[in-house]
Amino acid sequence: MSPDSAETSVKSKRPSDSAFKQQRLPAWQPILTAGTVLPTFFVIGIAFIPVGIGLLYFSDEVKEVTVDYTHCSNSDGNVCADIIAKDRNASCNCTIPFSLETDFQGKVYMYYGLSNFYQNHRRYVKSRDDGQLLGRLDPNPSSDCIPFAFEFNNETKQKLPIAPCGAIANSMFNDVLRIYYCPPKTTSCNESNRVVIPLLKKGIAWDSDKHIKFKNPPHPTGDLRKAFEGYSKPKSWRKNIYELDEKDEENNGFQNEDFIVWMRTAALPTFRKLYRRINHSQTSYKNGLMRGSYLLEVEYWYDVKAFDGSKRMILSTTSLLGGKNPFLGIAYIVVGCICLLLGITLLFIHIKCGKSTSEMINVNPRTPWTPQ
Amino acid sequence: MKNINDMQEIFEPSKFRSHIEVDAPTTKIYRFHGAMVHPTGAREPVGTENLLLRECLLKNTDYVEGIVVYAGHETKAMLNNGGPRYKRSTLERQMNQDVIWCVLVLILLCVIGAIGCKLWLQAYSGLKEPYKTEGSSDSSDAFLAFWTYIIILQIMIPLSLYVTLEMCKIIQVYHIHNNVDLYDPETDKRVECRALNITEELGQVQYIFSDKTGTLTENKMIFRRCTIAGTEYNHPELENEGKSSKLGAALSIVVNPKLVEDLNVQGHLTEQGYTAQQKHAARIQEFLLLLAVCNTVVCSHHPHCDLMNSSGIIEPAPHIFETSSCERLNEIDCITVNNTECNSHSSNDKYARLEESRSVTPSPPLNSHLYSDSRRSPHVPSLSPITSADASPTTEEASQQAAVKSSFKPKLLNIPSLPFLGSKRNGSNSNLTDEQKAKINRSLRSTYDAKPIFEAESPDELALVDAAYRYNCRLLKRTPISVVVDVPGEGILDYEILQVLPFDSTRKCMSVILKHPRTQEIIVYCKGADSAVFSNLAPVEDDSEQKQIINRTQNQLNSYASKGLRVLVMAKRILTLAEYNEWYTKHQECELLHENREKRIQESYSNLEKNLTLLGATGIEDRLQEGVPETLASLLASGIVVWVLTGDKPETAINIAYSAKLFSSHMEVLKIMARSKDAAENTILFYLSDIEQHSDSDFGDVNISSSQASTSSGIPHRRARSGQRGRSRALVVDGKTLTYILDKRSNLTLPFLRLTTYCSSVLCCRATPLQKAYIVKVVKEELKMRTLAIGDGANDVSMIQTADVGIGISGQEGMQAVMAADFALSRFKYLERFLLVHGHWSYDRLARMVLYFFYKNAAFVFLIFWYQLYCGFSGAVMIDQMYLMLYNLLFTSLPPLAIENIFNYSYFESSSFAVVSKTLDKP
Repeated sequence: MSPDSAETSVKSKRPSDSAFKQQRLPAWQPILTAGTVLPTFFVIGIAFIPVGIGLLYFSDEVKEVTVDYTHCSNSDGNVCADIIAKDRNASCNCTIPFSLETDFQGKVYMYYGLSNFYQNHRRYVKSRDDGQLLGRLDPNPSSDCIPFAFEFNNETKQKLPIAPCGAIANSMFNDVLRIYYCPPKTTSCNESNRVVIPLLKKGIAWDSDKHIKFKNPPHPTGDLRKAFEGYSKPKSWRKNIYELDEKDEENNGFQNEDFIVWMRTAALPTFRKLYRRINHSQTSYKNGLMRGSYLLEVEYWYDVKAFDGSKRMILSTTSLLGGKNPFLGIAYIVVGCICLLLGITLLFIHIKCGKSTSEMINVNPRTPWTPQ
Repeated sequence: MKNINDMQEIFEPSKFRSHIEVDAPTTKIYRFHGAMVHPTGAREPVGTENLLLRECLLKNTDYVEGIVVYAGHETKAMLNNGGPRYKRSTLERQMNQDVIWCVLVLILLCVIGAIGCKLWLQAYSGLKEPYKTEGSSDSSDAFLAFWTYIIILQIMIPLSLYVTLEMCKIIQVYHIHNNVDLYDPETDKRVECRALNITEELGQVQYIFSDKTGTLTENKMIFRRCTIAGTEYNHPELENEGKSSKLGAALSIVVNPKLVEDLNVQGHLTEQGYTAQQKHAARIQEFLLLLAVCNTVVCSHHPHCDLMNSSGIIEPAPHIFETSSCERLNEIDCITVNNTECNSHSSNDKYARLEESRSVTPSPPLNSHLYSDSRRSPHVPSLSPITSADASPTTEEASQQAAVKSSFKPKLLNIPSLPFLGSKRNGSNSNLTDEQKAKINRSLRSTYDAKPIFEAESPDELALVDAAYRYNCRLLKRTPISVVVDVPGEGILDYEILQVLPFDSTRKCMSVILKHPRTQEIIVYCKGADSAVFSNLAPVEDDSEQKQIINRTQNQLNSYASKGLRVLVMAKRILTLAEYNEWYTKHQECELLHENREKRIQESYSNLEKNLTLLGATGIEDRLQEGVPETLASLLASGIVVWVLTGDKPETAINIAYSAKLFSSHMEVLKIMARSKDAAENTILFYLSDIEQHSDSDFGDVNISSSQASTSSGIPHRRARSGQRGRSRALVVDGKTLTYILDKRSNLTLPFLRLTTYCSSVLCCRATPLQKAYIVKVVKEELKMRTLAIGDGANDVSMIQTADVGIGISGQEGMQAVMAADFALSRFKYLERFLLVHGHWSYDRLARMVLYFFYKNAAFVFLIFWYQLYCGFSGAVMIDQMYLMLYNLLFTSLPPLAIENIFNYSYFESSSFAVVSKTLDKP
C-alpha cells in the first residue's frame, strides 16, 4: 500500500497529528546553567535581606511584657499554689509589681499564658460537645465528653448532665487578673494610691465563634438560669455557666468570650490566650500604657502544679504583622545571606573553572566522557 | 489425511467409527502426533500436518471438515497463553522494596511514638482524665497509642501509588500507540503494545538480542546467483529495484542470457549420446526443475474468493458475475472429467447438503439449489480433487487434461466471464459442442500464460520458484499428491509426490520424493543448507568430474557467503522402487511410534537424504531493511550491546553485520569457531587474557584478578565500559561453539560472558531457536542485565518470551512472534525512537513519579510525627480529618499523573538521544 493511499483511505490507522497525542504540548523545562542560577541566587539574596530587616523591624516595634505569677504568694507570704493544692476552694490573692520600661503605644492587649498544658492532646481535644455549645441541650451529652458528661449529685441522688460538658470546658482557666497603675514617686503601691486600668471583656473572641459556633440555649422567659435547669456545672468550676458574666447578658453562658477563647484549643503545650483589652476610650489611656510601675493582682484559682505548668500574664501591643515574632525576619535574613554567599562562591567557581553554556548544551553521543 | 477419503466418500460424523489416539494436551505448538484407529484395526498416523490450531486462517480453501481433538482449555493456544502475562519491571521490583522500607519506617515511627507515649505518661505522676484512661496502666495506653499511630501514619505506605503507576503506564502506552513516528504507512500499522506494564523497562535495556532475517532484513528474497554443476550465473541488481521493492511490487530478476543459452542446447538433442554441453543443459534443466518442485509453494492462478460466509454457510457468490464464474467451473469440471457424468460430478449437491445440515441457521435460498436436486449424486471430496486413478496418465494429452482439470478444481476463478457462459447459465450444461470445448481449452491455455500467484511459507522458496519460472520451468499446480510442472522441451509433466520431507532446523534441509510420470523413476530432490547437504553427498572419486564440480561449487558458495547472500544447495538422489519401499515401510513404523517419534522420523528422513548428487547452489539476497544501519549505530552509540542471533553462515552473517553497521571497520572482530570443547575454551581464554592485559595496562588499577567477579553485576559492566573506551570489539560465535559454551558441564559460560562484556556487539551464527532463548536467559541471569529480544518468526518466540522485553516484528513470517511479544513494531528502524525516546521518557517519568510519591507521603507523615513531640505523643493530628482523607486523593493525585506524565515534555526531542546515551552510561 502506498503512503498516499494510506493517508486518503478512511480506515487508515495513522494516528492523528495532534499536539497532545504527539506529546508536543508547550512545556517549560529550566536548564540550570551558571547563567541562570547565579543571578537567581543574587536576586534572592538581595531581595530577602531587606524583607527580613523589615519584618524584624515590625516585630521589634511590638512592645511586650511578661509576668510569671505561678509561684506568687499572698500578703501573708504563703505561696498560693500550695494553698490551692491543699484546698481547691480556698481563695488566695496575690499581687505582683512590674514595670513597663517604655511606653506601650497603640492598642494594648492582655493575655494569660500557660505552659506545659497539653490542650492539644488527642483525648483532650475531642472531649467536647459541639451540639451542646450550639445551645441544643440534651440530657445525654455526647459520649466524647465522658467522663466529664455527668455529675452525681449527692444530695438529690441524681445524675445530672453537665453543661458545658467535656474536659476542655472542665479545665477552663479561671484566675482573675487585674492590673493597676502605680503613680510615680510613690514608694509603695497600695490600695489607696493605685489606679485601676480599665479592661474590656468583650471583643476578644473570634466573631465566627461568638456568633456561629456558640449559642445559648433558648428559653421562653429569656432567663439563662432557667434554660440551664437540670444541668450541672463542670466539676472543677466554681460558678455555673450562667454566672460567668451576670452583668452582661450577651457575654454570659456559652457566649461568654472567656469561655469561647478557652474552648478554641491551643496547638502547642505552651500557649497564650487573649484575656482582656485595655479600654483606650479613657483619656489617660488614649495612647496606650505609659511607662512606669504597675501592679498585677491575681485571684489565684487555677492549679498548674499538677502538671508542672506555669502561668503568666502578658501585656503586648501589636504591629502590622500581629504579635511579637522575630523568627520570620531572622529566617528571611539568614536565607538571604546564604543565597548571597552561595552566589558569590558559585560565581567564583564559575569564573575559575566553568564551561560555557554552549559547551554544556552541545552534548552529543560522541562527546567524550570525562569522569569528574 | 490421504486415506480417509478412500474409506468414506462423504464425511459424516454419524458414520465415523474410527478412534483417534493423540497425546495429552501439551504446550508444544509444533508437536502433535497420534493415530487414527479404524474399526478394522488399521492404524493410521496423524501428525502436525493434520492439525489445525486455534485461530488459524484458511487460505485458498473454502472450508475444511475436521474433528475437534483438543477443546477449550486444552487447546494449544490456551495452554500457551499462561494467563495474563505479567512481567514485573525492575522499577516495580525496586519500588516494592522501597514500599517494604516504608513499612519498616512506619513501624519504627509507631514504636517510637508508643514509647514516647509511655514516657510522657510516666513523666507526670498525677495525670487524670482525659490524658489517661482511668484504671489502665501506662503500658496499655502506650500499646493503644501504637495502633493509633499505625492508623494516622499509614499514609506512609503509598497504596495509591500502584493505582497511579498503572494509570501512568496506560497513558504512556496510549502515547506510544499514538505516536505518528512509529506508524508505518506501508503496512498501515501502528506500534502495538501488548503488555501494559513494562513501558519503563524500555528505557533500561542494556542488551538487545536481534534476529536477523526479517528483523534486520526485509525478508524479501531476491534470487541473485546460482551455480549449476560448477558454472556460475549472476543476476545483477536492477537499477530501479530498490524503489519498486519499497512499493511492495513483485521482485523480479533479469534473466541471465548465458544460462538461457546453455539451457537451450538441449533443444538440439540428438541420438548420438550426450555431449558435454548437452549434459550440462540436462543438469540445468534438472536444477530448475528442483527449484520449481522442491518446496511447499501453493500456486493459484487467481485470487481466492471464499464461498463460505462468516456464519459458516456456503453461499453462491453474491452477484451474477461471480455466480456465473462459479457455475462455469462446475461446467468445466463436468467437461473435463466426463461429459456423461457431468450431473453427478457437480459439487453443488455438496453445498446443498451442507446447507441442510445447518438447517438451524437460517440461510438464504441458493440459486444453485434450484437445480441441484436433479444432480444429487455421490460426493466428490473437495480436498483431494484428483483421485488416484487420474494421477498417472500415460499420454501427453491425458496429462494435459489432468493438469487442466486439477488446475480448475478450485471452486472459484475470477476469469473474466466468457460470453457463451453468460448465455448458457440457465441452460443444460451437459451438451457442450466441440467448439465450446475448444474455447474452454483455449481459455485454459491463456490462464497458464498469465503468471500464477505463488504463495509460500518462506520467501526463499518463493524466490526460487520465481527464478525457475523465469527460465520457463513453470510450477503450475500443486496438490498434496501431485505437482504439475511445465518443463521447456518436455511440456507439462505431472509428477506424483510420494513423500514430502519437511524442513526442520536440525536437518536443515527439505526434500521431496517424486515419481517421474514417464520414466517412472523415483527421485529425491533435496535442498538445504550447505553444511547439511555437502556432508550427505555420495562419495566420489578424487579426480572425477563430480569432484571438481563439488569443489568449484564450494568455492563459489564461499564467495556468495562473503557477499552476504543466503546459500542453499540443491542435490538429488535416484531411488529404486525397492529402496523406496523399504524406506517407506520403515518410515511408516516410525510414524506410528509414540515415544521419540519426532526424533525417529527425523532419523528416518536423514536416512533417505544420503548419497546425494550435487546439482547446484543458489545465492539469495536478503536486503537490509530501511534505516537499519542508522538504528543499530545509534543504539550502539547509546551504550546498548547488540547481539544478532542468526541461523545463517558465519560469512553471510558477518557481511550483513558490516553492512548493517553492527560491525565497523575500526572494530576488532574476535571469532570463536571451535570444533571441540577444548578449542573453544582455549580461544575464549586466550582472548580474555589478551584483552585483560590490555585493559590492565590502559587502566592501571582496575582489579580484574578475581575471576568470579563476573558473577556480580557491577564489575563486568565497569569493565565493559573500560573495554569500550579502548578499542571496540565485536565477537562472532558459531552454533557449534555455542553448544560447547552453553553446555553446563563445560563451565565455559562465565568466561564467555566475561568476554562478551568487552564487546559492543556479538554475532551468533548458526544458532537454533533454543540456543537463542538460552543465550538470552544466560545473559539475563548471569550478567543481570536488562535484555530485549526482537524477532519476527516463530523461531524467535522462545527468545522473545525469555527476554525482559520481547518485541515482535509484524512482518512476513506470520504472527507468532507478535503474539508472544510485549510490543509489536512493524519495522526494525522504529526501535531507535521506541527505545531511546519513549523508553527513556517512560522510565524517567515513572521514576520521578515514584520518587515524588514517596516524597510527598513521607513529608506528610513526618510532619504529623513531628507534631507528636508537642502533643504528648497522644496521636493527635493537627490537620482536619477531611484534609487528611483527601490528601492523596485530591490534593496530590494530579501532580504525578499530569505533570510527570503528560505535560512534562522532558527535554527537546532531538537531544533526547544524546541525553539517553549519557543516562545509560551510569551503571
